[in-house]
Amino acid sequence: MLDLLTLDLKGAFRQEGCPLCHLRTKTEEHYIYSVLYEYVTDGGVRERFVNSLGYCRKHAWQKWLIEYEHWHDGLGTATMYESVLQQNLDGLETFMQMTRQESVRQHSRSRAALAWLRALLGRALSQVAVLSARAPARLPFGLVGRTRCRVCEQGEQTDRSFIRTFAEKLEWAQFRDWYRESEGLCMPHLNQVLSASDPEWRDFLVQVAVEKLAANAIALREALHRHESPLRAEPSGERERQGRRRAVAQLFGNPARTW
Amino acid sequence: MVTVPTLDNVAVAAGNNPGPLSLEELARGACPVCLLASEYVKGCIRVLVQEPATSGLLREQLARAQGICARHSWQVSREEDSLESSTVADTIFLELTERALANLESGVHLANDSPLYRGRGPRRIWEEFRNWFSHPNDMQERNANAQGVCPLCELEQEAEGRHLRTLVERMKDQRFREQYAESRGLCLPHLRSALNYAPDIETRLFLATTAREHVISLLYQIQEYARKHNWNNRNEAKLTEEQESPFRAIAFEVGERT
Repeated sequence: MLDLLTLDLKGAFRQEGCPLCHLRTKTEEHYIYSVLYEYVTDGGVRERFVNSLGYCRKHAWQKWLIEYEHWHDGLGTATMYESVLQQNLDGLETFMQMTRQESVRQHSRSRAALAWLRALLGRALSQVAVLSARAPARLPFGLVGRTRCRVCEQGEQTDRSFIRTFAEKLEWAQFRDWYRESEGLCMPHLNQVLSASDPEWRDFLVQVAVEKLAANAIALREALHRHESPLRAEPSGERERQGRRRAVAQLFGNPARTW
Repeated sequence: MVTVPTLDNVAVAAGNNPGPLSLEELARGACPVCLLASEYVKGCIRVLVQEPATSGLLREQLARAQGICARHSWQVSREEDSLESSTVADTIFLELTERALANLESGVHLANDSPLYRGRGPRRIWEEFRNWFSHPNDMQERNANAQGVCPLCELEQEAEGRHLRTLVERMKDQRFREQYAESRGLCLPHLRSALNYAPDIETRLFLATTAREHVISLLYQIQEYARKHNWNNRNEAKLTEEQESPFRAIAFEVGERT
């Protein structure tokens, strides 16, 4: 039976790439658009935005693109990020205060030896530390966020809903036909749907995935043979690009617009 | 061969000759670490796609990790799109497709066993444990596969670490400090790392103080940007720095759009 989520899935099957990636991106973009359209000055939305110090990298740049596409402007971004910058300033001031206090403690005679040892150890550690994964233990709010990116949370919630619906609708023959005509799920989503679906439909999902992967492998092999053939001098065609796009989309998922 | 810029070169060039490679020039409107790390990875991808003979180690790493992350896969694919005669990306993606196909056709349950699956859970841990002992000769390779770390992400992180270490070490040099203070400084993610890396309190305080100045300046510009959007202030001149401030606010919070 058709419900709203199934209708969305049916529409997504007609799009390029993984239908679940498509729906997730669509939901995320719709959320960002809604915030920019009517929630820029909303207290709750702003509080959440400041607590996570804006959005994650991917969604922050996505927000920028959406605002420029729709309004040719950055006023929503400016208004919302003003509060975040204010919080950064508070965080930096707290950090400086903490560091000065630490400096005073380190200069006291009774702790001089300990401080020397700590500095020595700190220098040694700094040589081996892996930067990106490590955050300083005592950075105040404003330099680090308190919560996760809200758009990522929305995206995950959407993923869960559609994966559940997808798994439930597999028993419907018409739904399976629609899915077979699509470009198929990407591997990360296929794994999630396989985990959520009844064992009796897993063979069907794997069979469709095998068909799509085999078609992609043929397209890639054709492209490679073409380069080895006398026609090599000809520029690579749209067909080859499409073949590569489908292969990457099935292996890793659809691309974000900001990549 | 693609020349990969390093902060060392930048700092040396800046010290002797403030030419086009100075930190100030290079970091115009951008976090220098974001810029350099991104250029490094782009350079690696260019080498990988354009000069496959020189990128043997990288291809070997890619094969061992059984793939790259989605972001870098698309970057590799686009790089190949821009070239008309390269087949490296097609070869890599064909190999990965065939591997995924073989796993599915052999009836291996993807949710547990696929190297493309990056999930966690008791069953996965059990499978890894079981595989470990069933193929003792492949232990090292299996370990690398289980981690599933994108080699290009690793290269990016290494480059970031290298540039940040250099930056923090150079902070002892007064001229370098002055140049750093004049530039737009680091983005917040790299500032956090630099604060973690700074060997002493003085360097931490310097980094925090300069960042505070940058944020104050950015905050003022962003407030002016919003104020000048008001109809009553429509005739006031809109400065370029103010017009760019929303973009730079995002770049400061999450890193440059690279």
